Amino acid sequence: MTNSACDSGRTIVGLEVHVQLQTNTKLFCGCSTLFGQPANTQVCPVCCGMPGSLPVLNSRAVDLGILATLILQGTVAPEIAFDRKQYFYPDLPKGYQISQLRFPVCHGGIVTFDNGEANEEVELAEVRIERAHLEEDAGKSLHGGEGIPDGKTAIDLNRAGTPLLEIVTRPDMNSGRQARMFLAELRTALMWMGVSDCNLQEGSLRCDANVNLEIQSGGRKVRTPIVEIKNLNSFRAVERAVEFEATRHWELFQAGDQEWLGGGKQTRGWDDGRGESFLQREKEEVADYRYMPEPDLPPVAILPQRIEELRNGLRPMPETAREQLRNRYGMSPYDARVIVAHSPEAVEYFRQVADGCGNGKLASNWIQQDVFSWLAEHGQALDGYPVAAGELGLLLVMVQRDGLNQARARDVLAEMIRGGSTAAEASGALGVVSVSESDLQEACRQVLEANPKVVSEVAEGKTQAIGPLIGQVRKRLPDANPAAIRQTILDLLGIGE
Amino acid sequence: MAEPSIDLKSLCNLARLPPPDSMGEEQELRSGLQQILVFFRMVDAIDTENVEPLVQPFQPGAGTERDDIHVQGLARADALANAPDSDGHHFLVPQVLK
Amino acid sequence: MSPDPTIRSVQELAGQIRAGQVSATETVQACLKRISQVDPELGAFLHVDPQGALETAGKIDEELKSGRSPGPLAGVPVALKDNISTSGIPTTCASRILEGYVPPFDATVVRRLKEAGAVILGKTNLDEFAMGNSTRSSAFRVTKNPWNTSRIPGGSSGGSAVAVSAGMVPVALGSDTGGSVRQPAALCGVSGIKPTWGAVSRYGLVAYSSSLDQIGCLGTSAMDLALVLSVISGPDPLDATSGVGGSSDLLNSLAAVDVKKLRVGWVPELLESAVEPGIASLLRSAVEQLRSEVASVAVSNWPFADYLTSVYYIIAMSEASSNLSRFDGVRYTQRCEVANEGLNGLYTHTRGTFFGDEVRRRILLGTHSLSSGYFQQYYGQASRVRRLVQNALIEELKRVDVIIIPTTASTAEPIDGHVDPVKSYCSDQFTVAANLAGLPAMSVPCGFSVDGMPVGMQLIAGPHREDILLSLANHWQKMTDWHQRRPGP
Repeated sequence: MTNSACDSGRTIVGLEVHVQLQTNTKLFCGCSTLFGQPANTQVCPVCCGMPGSLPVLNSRAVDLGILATLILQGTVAPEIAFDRKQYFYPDLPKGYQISQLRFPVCHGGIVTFDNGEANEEVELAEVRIERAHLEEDAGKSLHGGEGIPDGKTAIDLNRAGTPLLEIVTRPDMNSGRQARMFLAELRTALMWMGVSDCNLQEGSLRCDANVNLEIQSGGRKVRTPIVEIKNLNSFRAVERAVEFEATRHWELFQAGDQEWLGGGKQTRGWDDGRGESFLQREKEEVADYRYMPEPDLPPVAILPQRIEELRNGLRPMPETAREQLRNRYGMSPYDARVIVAHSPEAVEYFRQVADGCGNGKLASNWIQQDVFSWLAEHGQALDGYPVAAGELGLLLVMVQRDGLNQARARDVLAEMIRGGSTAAEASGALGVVSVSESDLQEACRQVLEANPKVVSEVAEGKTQAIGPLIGQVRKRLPDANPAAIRQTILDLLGIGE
Repeated sequence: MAEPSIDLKSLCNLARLPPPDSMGEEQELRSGLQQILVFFRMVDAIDTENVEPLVQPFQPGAGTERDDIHVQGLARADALANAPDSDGHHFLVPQVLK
Repeated sequence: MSPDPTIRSVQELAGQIRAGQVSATETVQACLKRISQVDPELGAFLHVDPQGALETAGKIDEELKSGRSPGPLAGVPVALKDNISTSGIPTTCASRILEGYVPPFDATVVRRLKEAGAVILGKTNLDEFAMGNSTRSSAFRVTKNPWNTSRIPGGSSGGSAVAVSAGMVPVALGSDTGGSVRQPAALCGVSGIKPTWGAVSRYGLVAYSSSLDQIGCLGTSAMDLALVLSVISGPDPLDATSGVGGSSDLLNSLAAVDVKKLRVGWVPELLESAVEPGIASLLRSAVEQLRSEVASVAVSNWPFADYLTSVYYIIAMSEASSNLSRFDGVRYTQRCEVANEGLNGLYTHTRGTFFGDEVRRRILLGTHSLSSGYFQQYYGQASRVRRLVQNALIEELKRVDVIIIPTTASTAEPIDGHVDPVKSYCSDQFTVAANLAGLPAMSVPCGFSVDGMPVGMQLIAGPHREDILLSLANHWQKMTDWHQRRPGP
């Protein structure tokens, strides 16, 4: 952004992302991590912080931390240890959170992602990772609302002790959009590798953004105070919040607010409804977390063997799949991102459908429009889709080769889902007739013979005269594809398109 | 090394303990703490350059992690049994101002 | 045969019960009777559970009758310090903040005692949250030394020491962070052991200072302590710091120790300057008596003598301030709410009202030691000096097998009378070293002062060498009869 010849600003964004690790049980006890259970039914003395309780580390959480480090291309620490981060809050049962300060599982790393505006080109950007560490989640505080007595806050400890990985990036992003694209890539990668289900609705991926501006003014570089924005519930919210803050800083700077400029880091919340940030009351003073090494947990040596075994079990990164979709199937970068971002299962499904019908673009459209929307509506993962890839492929062959129009084909798909039937059975049940090439040509020939006037108009160059003829052919062959009819007529008239 | 005067109000807040009520109480508390801090600072005399801190006297080495297997925890009623204020489902505290 | 209420030996008692010479029920009844006779005055117990104890004893008797073996401690009555969690039985840590708190789970040591057939009689008094060496800071009652009821029993496990000393139970569990099992054992004329850090699971022990705490035993003889220790120690999947090594069969390793081959170290200069003359002469005499029984007696180095208590208290108070943050009025404590003061008011008034003075003092000092700007100077420096202390002691314990020093500098002081905090902290000078280094240590009776108060001798061995401690102590207890003396009625 610029204002004058002297002033220009560059937005600087760093992100702190908390992902919930995909384990069966909590980080330090055997309680389940299942989402959405009745309050305080997944608790034990350890995660309730009862006197005398002690934490014991979940080895699967460590494994997932190592996997995440490999995905982030960071360095796995040879030995990890834990520290207490101390503060008082009712959903923090021990009065401290067990986290990692001195010896986190991951140092450094880099995430490469497609920052492309467009659908046609891949435009790579990089964000460096500062560190990533394991820590336990706090419980939930419900400040009033349904069922909560007036004037009280209700505490549910089901979530307390859930394993989190906090990923801290370097401030390498320069726009809200970049932040969103980075998050999308991070989410895809972690989800692909089974580290986290990255479900934003369930809160298994949460993000805070640190934003400030670097302004070139009067020959000097001035940095505005960093703002930490919390409560960002979607990637779009991150994008909007970052842009809002950048603008706000720019305006404050232009207004010459010296007091603000010299001030310290602020914490603000984000109101997505209003599209604005607000100062958060509770962080009035700088917190002193009094970090202390955790005496109840011995440091854990991470052996090279453990890392290698985990590395060997990794499936290829999402970018490999996207590359294949772009190169082998001619898919646009945008479509490739969408399919890959859904799940590895979606990619496999796509391959089978595309190979089956021979048309990647068609397969991609149907999967995005029909399969994904059905799955979203029914809250299912791809394994729960009731139509096998092979059958969808056969249906699309009908569309592609036999001229079955897409609206009709969607009816067939609905019938396949309803009746659990094959493409052939369902289309038969609906009375859909497959229109053969020769039938189509015959019908078109007949219609053309009956409409000599149109033939001469078209010969004069008025190709739009074909329009009504298409309807006439469809009367004889209701299942014929209008585009195929048009093409056949033009071919018969000897006109290229 | 002289200890700068302790900010008692801030320290009490950090520890979530009530600050002294009166000047007299404050004096007493402050001098009591200072006396013990002098006793603490005796350790300054020992040269610990290049010495690794000791947190746990011994470490078990391997086998300190647990498998990711569900273990039955507390029934909700037991978890809430000692709660000073509860609605049978949650722990309740005075509303935290937002 | 009717139970002798002065039977002190766990081994003997367990044997008699197993042989059917006396029943578990009769034994428990005898203990309950003794408690009702002497405890109103002595104040060892905070909670006695006659119903539960008799129920357990009855079940044990049934099992014995049907020929089954309920375990090596079948029918043996045990008392537990009230900072050890017992399911269904109140656990207060002698603090008003936990008044009425009933844990929904047993500490691992409690579970193991129960599995061995022991009968839990009740919970004993302590300094609030185990912070003290006199038991004076208990919020609920005063515990008195059975040898002279105007004197302290020591602390923080004062109640457990008195329960054993006055013949209410043959054995009791306590906890030892800076001497809290050994010191009251010495002041009350009983034996007490603090195992190697990590030898006994801390799951269920309400934490005071996690890297220093260990659960220990108090009893009338070393062999009794060995028997109970062998039941409660060993790795526990619920405590990641437990099972650091050591003998899985303590009783066999103990038997295998040849006392004649032991190299003993002692520290004469401590006796010259730091203790009451009466204690010094008893310790010297003990060392002399042992000289002909062991391989050698040599002068040992005692490292950083003047600094041990400051190092200890910085670490203990820092960890305590953290461990006690959970007592906040939200989930399981007493609560003190003040209108219009919201959540912070809840925390501050609850903790201010229900924590005692000493606990509040330690929380403030610990918080200060961990706070930004002070961490390196206090906690950081103390943990580095701690490394030096451990290195030095472990070195020393390669040259000798056991170090003998006093347990305390003086005998039990009067209950009434002003206590200067720093002076009181400094009186822990002989016991804190073993906690700092994580080493096993025990105190055994070695005589009486001129005014008839018990004196203890402390033995310290290398990591996991409880077998050395117990076999030397056992040998000492065959040579002498200090451990068999009893206070008056």
